[in-house]
Amino acid sequence: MTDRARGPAGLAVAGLLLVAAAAWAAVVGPVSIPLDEVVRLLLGGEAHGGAVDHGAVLWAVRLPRIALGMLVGAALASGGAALQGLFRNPLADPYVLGIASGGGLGAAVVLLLAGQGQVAPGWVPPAAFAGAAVAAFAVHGLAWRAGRLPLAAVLLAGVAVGLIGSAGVSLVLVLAETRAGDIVQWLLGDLGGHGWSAVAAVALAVGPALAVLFAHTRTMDALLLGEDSAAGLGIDVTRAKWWILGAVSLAVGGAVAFCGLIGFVGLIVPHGVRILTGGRHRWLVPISAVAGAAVLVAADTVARTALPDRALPVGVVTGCIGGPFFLYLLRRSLR
Amino acid sequence: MSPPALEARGIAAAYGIAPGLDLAVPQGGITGLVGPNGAGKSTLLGCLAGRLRPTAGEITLFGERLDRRDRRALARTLALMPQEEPRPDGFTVRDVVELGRLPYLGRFGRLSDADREAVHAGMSLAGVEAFAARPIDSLSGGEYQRVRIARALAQEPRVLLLDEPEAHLDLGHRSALMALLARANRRRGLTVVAALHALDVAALYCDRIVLMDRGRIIASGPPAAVLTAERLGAVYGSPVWVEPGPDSRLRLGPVRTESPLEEQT
Repeated sequence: MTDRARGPAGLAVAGLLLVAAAAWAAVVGPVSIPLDEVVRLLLGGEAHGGAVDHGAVLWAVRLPRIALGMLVGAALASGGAALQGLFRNPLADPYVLGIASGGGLGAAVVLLLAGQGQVAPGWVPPAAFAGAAVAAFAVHGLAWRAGRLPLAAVLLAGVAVGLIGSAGVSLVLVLAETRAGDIVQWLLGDLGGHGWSAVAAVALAVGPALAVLFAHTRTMDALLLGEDSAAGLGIDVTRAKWWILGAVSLAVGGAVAFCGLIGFVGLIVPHGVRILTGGRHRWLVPISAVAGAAVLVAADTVARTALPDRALPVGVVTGCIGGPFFLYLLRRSLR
Repeated sequence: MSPPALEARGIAAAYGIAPGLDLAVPQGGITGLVGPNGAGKSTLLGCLAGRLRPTAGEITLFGERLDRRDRRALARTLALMPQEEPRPDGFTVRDVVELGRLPYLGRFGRLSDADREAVHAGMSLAGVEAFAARPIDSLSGGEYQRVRIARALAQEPRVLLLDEPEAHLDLGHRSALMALLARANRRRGLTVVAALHALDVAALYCDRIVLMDRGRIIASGPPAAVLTAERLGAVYGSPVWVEPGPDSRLRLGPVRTESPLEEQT
């Protein structure tokens, strides 16, 4: 394949994977809905009479979950692609900014209080988003100095804020004693139990964030040459960094608020895409978004169907499958 | 008379330029900025490129104040090639050269036919077209420097500033690179200002030399007027010989000494 064709081909393959993952996710579960019926219901057809209302299962349970998986997967993977480029560090993922830990702490506190009956569990998403926002402002405020935003400072502040958030979560876990299990379950990530209003809320954060990231792909390419060279190409480097970091923060905050801390997607997906289609962000970021959506929807489907009697946290699945697959890609690229 | 391509009047900068530096770079020539390590060459280039803001004085580009120019408009007129630059991972030669079109692209930036033509012209002038599809990790240092110049040419600037582009290159690549700058200068009327590491290269390829030491300009003008054995010996603190070559260009080099640097003065 010529180098020019790799981008469009990659996008097409990722799109097909996404369609396949979504179709599979719609079909399987405690109630199996045949694919032809899924298609018929999607096109507005009536459900067949039966013991279970397939239409209700599809529209109220499966589809919101699939949509949420797509949004969160796209947010994490494209955010990871952007940060790996910005920090010029292959180990970067959306969580290095420490924002997710802030979100986790916010959620953990509310889960603790909810367990004691002091607040309603419905406050978890707003608290998680607020925690993420506080962490984001803290990280960027700490790094901002004299009109500049040095990335090394952002990285260090992100790691420090992330550690503080984790320590806070640990404290909450100790205080929660027997209820710690619920909190851990939330922290490991879960796409289930949400309706269309949650999808809308996440879309409100992730949509604009993705638009900003897609609009900055050429800028990200230029930043790979270093800040001096990027500035020489007419880029306002500090402003570009604010836009990119702000977009990633918003996307991560929105994702964490409803779905917890789903690991590995933001690290592995952009890496895999990079190895297969090259380093240009113009293709890397959108392909990562589509591939991330596909991977998370597929991983979530594995998570809820792998064991007969209970669902696994989706973060466990992304780690168990993503880790070895990543090692395989790495091995291939080193050859 | 046309204004100078670049003119600095009474500038000073925190690290490297003593107050009151004046410099005029005429349009269309190759100017070599030479001087010992720490003389202020990179700082001066940074100021001329609009990357560093002088603490005093003003700089004009074709008669227009540099600090009043819009960034993207500036990037269409002037290109700076910094000394060190990371190589972007997973890019081909063409990908890197295409980045030179960034100042011309819209937000979601697709390349137009004019952009592709400029990329093609830059690569062909720099002689990198033959390996346009190669990944840049596979290039030698000399080849990659030419790719960077191709990118700067794709930017279609009127002025090109380079910071020691020939450092770390072997003799063959060094000559190829300087010949490339001379070709761009001749064919496009490009004004070239290069901080040069090697005095002999500067003497061979430059129309004008600006000799700096400790943040000041010691002398400027044609190579024969600036590069004298006495002046270079004093500035570098080590004896230098200078002779006219057969092509009316100067030849120069160090004279072997037995005593260490400190005892020379």
